[in-house]
Amino acid sequence: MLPPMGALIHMTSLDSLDDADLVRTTREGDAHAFEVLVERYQRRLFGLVRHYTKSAVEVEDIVQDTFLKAYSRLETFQSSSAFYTWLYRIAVNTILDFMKRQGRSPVQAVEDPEVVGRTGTGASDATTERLSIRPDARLEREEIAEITRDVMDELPDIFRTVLVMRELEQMTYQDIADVLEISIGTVESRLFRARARFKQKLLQKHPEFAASQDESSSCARSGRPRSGRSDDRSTRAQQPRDRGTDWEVQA
Amino acid sequence: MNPDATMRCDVVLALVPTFVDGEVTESVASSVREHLKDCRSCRAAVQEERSLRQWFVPTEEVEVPDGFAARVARRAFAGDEGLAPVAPNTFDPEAGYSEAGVLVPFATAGATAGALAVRDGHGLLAFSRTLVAAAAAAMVAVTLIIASGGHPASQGLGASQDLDEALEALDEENRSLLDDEDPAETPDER
Repeated sequence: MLPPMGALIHMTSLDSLDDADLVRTTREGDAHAFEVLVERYQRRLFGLVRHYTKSAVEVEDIVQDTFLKAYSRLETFQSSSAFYTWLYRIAVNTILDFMKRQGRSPVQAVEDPEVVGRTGTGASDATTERLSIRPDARLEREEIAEITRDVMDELPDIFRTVLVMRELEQMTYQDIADVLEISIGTVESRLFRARARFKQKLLQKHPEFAASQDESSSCARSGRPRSGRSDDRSTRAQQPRDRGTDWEVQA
Repeated sequence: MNPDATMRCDVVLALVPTFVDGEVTESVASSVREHLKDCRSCRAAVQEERSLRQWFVPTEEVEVPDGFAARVARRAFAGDEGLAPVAPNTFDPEAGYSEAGVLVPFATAGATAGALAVRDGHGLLAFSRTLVAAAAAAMVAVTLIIASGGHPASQGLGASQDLDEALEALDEENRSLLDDEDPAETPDER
């Protein structure tokens, strides 16, 4: 059903408002302002949620639930923070709740990654680290995505969430830290362990993609300083990452 | 091989994930790049890190159903607050799952079904949803009645003290029967 012309004109004028103003107008009882907010972020949330479920109906339900919760908690939103970060946090919690409801949430990590840190990844991790694993060139994009999803389905939520945010949503460490309300150092260490776990599961399920590390190593790989992640802000980029950096060098 | 003297391999290797993620400062990235020019094994580590990232491919943009935003806004302003969060499991290592804790999923299922059922709808659909909602409410009520009814938890279903005593008496009887047999026979020979 199309909205009446007056509403359309009103919504067009609302379109130019920033998030904070739309939130304020929504709080004042303007449903169209909230509709504009939903329109502004619905695509991104649909994109996020489909990393967790293949069902279009479930994706829609979860996104809808996210917005409904956001509206009901709008009073708690602090205008000083980014609306999307706040909304994204609600979305992540809604997704995890949904997975629990469906009994599809894998077991939680038995170890606390923040306590264990980068050391103590276990023998299997040490083995997988020496293996390079990349998608077969013959695989279609969708096939790769399917394999990745299967592996991700088996990861504990804590790891899956950071992988989705970083690798699929391409969020910066800072954005991830803001959404999850953790430090950047924790994001870094969690990502490290999530990738190790992903690789381990991938190798378990698809050993055919493993390629031995054929490069001779002058560095003691086993002595890789995992604690090197640290919170040393001096090494960390202040700007959002640039995936296209020219770090590649000629072999 | 002549790795850049300003950065050791162990330092570079520790920086590889953040470097590949583009999350190091430009000066650090520059030092790493210098090191990589001459260090084959660190280059291999970078390639390895990149290989893993190739599994995460962007997929096609998802379609948002027509009228989604308007529908959500209507529901929000009609008072729909979405589904309640799932209650965490109440597990006590001493006592096991409590009766109420065990029943929480049933209550949650009932509440969820009810909430889903009363969401928007018209005509026959609304009527059927109301029926489902009523059934769900009844399910929640029964669940709560059972939970508060003092039914035994799992520990109450374990072996009773009487049974333990009976088993001990049986063991004692067996031992006395065995004692009556040849005393020279060792247990291993039996």
